[in-house]
Amino acid sequence: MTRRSERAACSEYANLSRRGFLRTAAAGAAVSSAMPRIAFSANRGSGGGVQRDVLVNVFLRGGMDGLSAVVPYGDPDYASSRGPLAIPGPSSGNGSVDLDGTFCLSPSAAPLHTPYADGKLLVVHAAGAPVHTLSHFDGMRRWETATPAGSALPLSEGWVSRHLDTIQPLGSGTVRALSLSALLPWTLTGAPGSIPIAVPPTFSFPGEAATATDRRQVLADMYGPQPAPLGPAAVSALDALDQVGGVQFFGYTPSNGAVYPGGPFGGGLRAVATMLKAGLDLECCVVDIDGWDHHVQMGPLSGTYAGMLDTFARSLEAFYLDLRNSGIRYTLVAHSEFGRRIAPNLSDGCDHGFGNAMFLMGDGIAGGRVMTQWPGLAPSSLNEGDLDVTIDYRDVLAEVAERRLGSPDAGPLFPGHTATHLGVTV
Amino acid sequence: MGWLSGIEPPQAAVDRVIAVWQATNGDLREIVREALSDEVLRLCAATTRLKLKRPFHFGIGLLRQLSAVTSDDFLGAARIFELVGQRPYVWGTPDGYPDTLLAWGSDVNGRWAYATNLLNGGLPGLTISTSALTALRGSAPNPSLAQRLAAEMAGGLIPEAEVARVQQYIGARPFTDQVLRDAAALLAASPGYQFY
Repeated sequence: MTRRSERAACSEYANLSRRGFLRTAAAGAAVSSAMPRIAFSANRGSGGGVQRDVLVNVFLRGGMDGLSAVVPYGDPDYASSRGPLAIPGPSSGNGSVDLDGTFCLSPSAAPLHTPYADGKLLVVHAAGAPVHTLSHFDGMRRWETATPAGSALPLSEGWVSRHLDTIQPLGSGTVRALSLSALLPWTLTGAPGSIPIAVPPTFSFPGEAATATDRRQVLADMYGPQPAPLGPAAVSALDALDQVGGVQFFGYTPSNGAVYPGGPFGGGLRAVATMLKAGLDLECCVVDIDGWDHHVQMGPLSGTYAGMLDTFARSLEAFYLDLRNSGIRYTLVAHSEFGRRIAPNLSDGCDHGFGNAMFLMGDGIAGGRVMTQWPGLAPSSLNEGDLDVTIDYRDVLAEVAERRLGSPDAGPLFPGHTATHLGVTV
Repeated sequence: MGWLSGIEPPQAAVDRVIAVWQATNGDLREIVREALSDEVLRLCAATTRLKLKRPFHFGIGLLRQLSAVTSDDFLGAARIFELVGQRPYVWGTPDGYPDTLLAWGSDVNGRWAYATNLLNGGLPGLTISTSALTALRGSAPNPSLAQRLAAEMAGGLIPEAEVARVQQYIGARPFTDQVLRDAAALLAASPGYQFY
């Protein structure tokens, strides 16, 4: 599926998305660990007096078409403007699930209705970044670093990095954030206590077990005096070997009948749930699902897009069920760098657009609804042919940071922007 | 100049290039020739901090220094560079792979794993033979083994304290072929080896 989607992607994204290989790369270098394994617990947020959520940041890389996930079937201009890519509403019997009489979940997104019906999943529609860029590269970096609209060059530090810089760590501070990738994404670039781990279940110290302790100590001694980023990265890596390497991933049974789809994304969320239940003091986990650049034969109902959306939706549903009633506090935020154009192109796909849907999930989210200032799809309402952005994603994230992540002031996280709370949290 | 050489040039170097630009009425060939001249590079080298090897540099350099041999089940260079975090030709246009400490400094574990697994036969199709390691060692006695390996692998760029720490590891156990491999892996994983 990945290769099919890459063939249908623009050249810029085809290059970018191959980096997805890097995400699973480190697994090949891993060997069995000599580290002891620790048992599960579900005590996150119940001890230490600190009550704040762990952020699970899902980046749908490639420009995911939110209009084919949360479908504005009630908009009078939707069907005509989308043409052959339009998804019929719930009355068609195609499996779409009505949300509020205007929007519905497409059949492949139907599993999202489980947390939605429980009031734990919020859709923020017509949301996005303030700059209408058509470049994946630029769009991702600007989003992840929360670069001000007027800035010619994107910032080099992630918004979550700034957040972690401003609050006390939950635990020892050596492993505060994980990215399930080979390298840290922009979101976490420069973040204290952050480490990329491509495949947590295979993360272990390499080489012979008999000398592992001594060799680790040599590395600790050599890297201890090093300045950032190498020194702190080494400290995080060595501590993560104990913390992440000590989690019993392979004996894990999801709760409440949750079933994670196979593949990197489902496996990634499963690994995150396992680590949280094991009591790791994580404050942020970044899990990407890429390949959404569907310029050709998008297939919103039964093609490539539908398959990817099904994986995304079933993974979120499984994560929700798995952590339901666990006492673990989390806020999951899923988004893409931009949406796609309203009108299909001549290859039955869609080109890069602007406004899009964001997904927020967790006990602290005011869910069960679609939050939007819907601009409409009439030609006169579009922004250069695209769904306009009427909700700034920074307002959404700033509220999450202050209300759920323990940020005393989200202002420094989003420079140049005065955030407004929209009511995305309870 | 920064783009050509990947380093921030000192003013003296910039002035030399400006002088050529002015003298030649902007002849690009002459400007580039001067920017890459021995004298300008000498000026840059005098003021430039060591740079972090990008994963590609780290990975391929280690293969060459240890005289790695490939066999039929070698999965290809691209797979190797995935392991260390930089698959060739996959960075988005227009600026290519960044050449900064911040961009690559987060993943030390990947480099440790790569070096250790390479030395221990853990990478399919890649072998570091005992004879290659023995040649690298030369006639160095055990008490100066780390120093010899460091000199061969990094040309003296690994700080003495790090070399001494690896030597301490060597001296703490009976010498075997495995200890030689561990020593080479630790030196390759050392902070000093990551820079050039």
